[in-house]
Amino acid sequence: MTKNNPPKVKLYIIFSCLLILLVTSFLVEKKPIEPKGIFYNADGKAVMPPFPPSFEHPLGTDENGTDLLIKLVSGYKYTFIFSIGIAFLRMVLAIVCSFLILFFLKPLKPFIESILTPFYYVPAFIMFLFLANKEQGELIVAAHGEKFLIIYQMLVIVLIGIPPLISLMMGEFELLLYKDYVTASRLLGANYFHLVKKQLFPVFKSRLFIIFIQQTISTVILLIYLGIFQIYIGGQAKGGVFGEDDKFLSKSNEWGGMIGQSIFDMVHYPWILLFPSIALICLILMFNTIIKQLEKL
Amino acid sequence: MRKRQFLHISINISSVLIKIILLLLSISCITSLSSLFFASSFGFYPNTYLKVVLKTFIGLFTIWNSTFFYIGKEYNVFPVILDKYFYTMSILFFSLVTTILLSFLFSYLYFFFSKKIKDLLFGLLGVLDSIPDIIIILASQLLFISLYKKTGIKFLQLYGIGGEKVYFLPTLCLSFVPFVMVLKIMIKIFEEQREQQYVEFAIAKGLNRSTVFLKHVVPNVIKSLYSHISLIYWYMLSSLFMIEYLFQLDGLTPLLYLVRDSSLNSVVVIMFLIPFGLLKLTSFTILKGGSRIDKE
Repeated sequence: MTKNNPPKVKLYIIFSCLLILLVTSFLVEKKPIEPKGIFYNADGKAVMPPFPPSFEHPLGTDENGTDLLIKLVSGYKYTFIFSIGIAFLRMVLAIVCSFLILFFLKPLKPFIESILTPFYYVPAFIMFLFLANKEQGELIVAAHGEKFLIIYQMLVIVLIGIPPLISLMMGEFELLLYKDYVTASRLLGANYFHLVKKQLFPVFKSRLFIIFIQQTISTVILLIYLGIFQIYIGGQAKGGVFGEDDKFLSKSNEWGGMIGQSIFDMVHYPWILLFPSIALICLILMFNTIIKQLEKL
Repeated sequence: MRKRQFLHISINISSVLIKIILLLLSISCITSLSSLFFASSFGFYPNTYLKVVLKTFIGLFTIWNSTFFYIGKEYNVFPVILDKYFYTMSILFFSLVTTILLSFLFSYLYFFFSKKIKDLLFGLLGVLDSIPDIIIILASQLLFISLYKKTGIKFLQLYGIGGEKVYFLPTLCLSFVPFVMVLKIMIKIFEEQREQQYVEFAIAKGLNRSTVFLKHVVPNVIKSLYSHISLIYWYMLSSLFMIEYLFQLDGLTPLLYLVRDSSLNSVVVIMFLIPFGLLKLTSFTILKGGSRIDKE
């Protein structure tokens, strides 16, 4: 069956890749690696991290001497789970809201759309900066602790993504709602719930999955944007970098944060920027391939 | 009859007015969001929020006479904001033009390749499409800095420190992301157009491919590209924020996140929406005009 269906085979390969990476990412966490500080090489000269890529460290090390490959692999699970979780929450809330508007607030729809327009054109990270910039984050940590901050940041990211998603979904659902078979079913007395469950979702399933992956990609990109503004999801930790003790770094090694924190060092130690970027591009490429194969199915 | 027409127009105008007021209100709601959760400490303050939204909304009409603080200095709103706006918009405009010209050129070349190379190129486009704009910006900065370090020659002014107006590299970076997208859209439209009968007929008649491309396909493509223009504008807008931050340009966008004045922030958002509204209006009339010609 699957042999005649190359898109499906490709999808299985990509999904298993993502899963294997996730499992390795959880396994790596269990054995912490001692970072290397200053040490002396064979000539008796003091050598300081970060080290360039070498046989011992295939992707080089960061300023603390931690291996970049291990950092990347262990950070993957945060990036992956965080973006998937946010995309899922966004989808559920947006679907519910758009159905509520379509079924119960139909006459107000044009006005609701004009309220939603600016949400479309103010980039998501600017909205995030309105709601949870650095000083506000410190206020929250002072009041409720760090775990609360992570939940709050997550909620904010979910909420700012919903308005554009609602207007997208409303457009798509409306097209379906005026199909003849849906009208027929409604005339026969189907209630809204039945309509959604039996008439709309079976048609809409694969399209929903594509939108879900697109939302995941946009979340990953949003995480880089926030990283550039020195907002790290999963909390920040004092860098402990030699000479620069007050520099904050991402605690979770989430990929967007890794790219964001590298912009200060990229001129002198380009590999700190280069490898996380390549990893991130690969991840997005995988998601894009999933979308492409799903469209072929 | 005439009375009814008049009534119709007045209803139309009033609904447009209501929409504009709702738009302004919703912009003020966004820009004053921070006061919903933060006063002197973290909490939930709906009453203060409503007050701040109202204040922001009223402030929109008196903003021209006020001043704002930006990196430790006080500025008058009126001449400064227009200056910054002009700079930002010129970068946006240049890169829009670059994008469209480049993608026309590339899709013109694409038109002549064989099937195999076309597939290869399309795959390459898919890879390029997955590169986030930030990585492009950082990589280009890295490239030029390392070129400078290697050769000692300063090719370009990279950063806009000290109020210097930099154009070249920001424009180039800003055009890259939409370039890939526009090229993809264009290739799709071109392929659709190629299968149309009028193109086959023209080629069968013995016209050469360039003439067919330039005289027959391009005008049709421009029309359908225009329907995508708001999407392109949106893509460029969000990377524009990043570009002005990373190149430290003296543009309009830092006013959104460096100045804590919700009225001013709303004005900035409105200023970004103005070109979008104009684009949408013109595309609406163009598409409408096109359909009328089709009907005739």
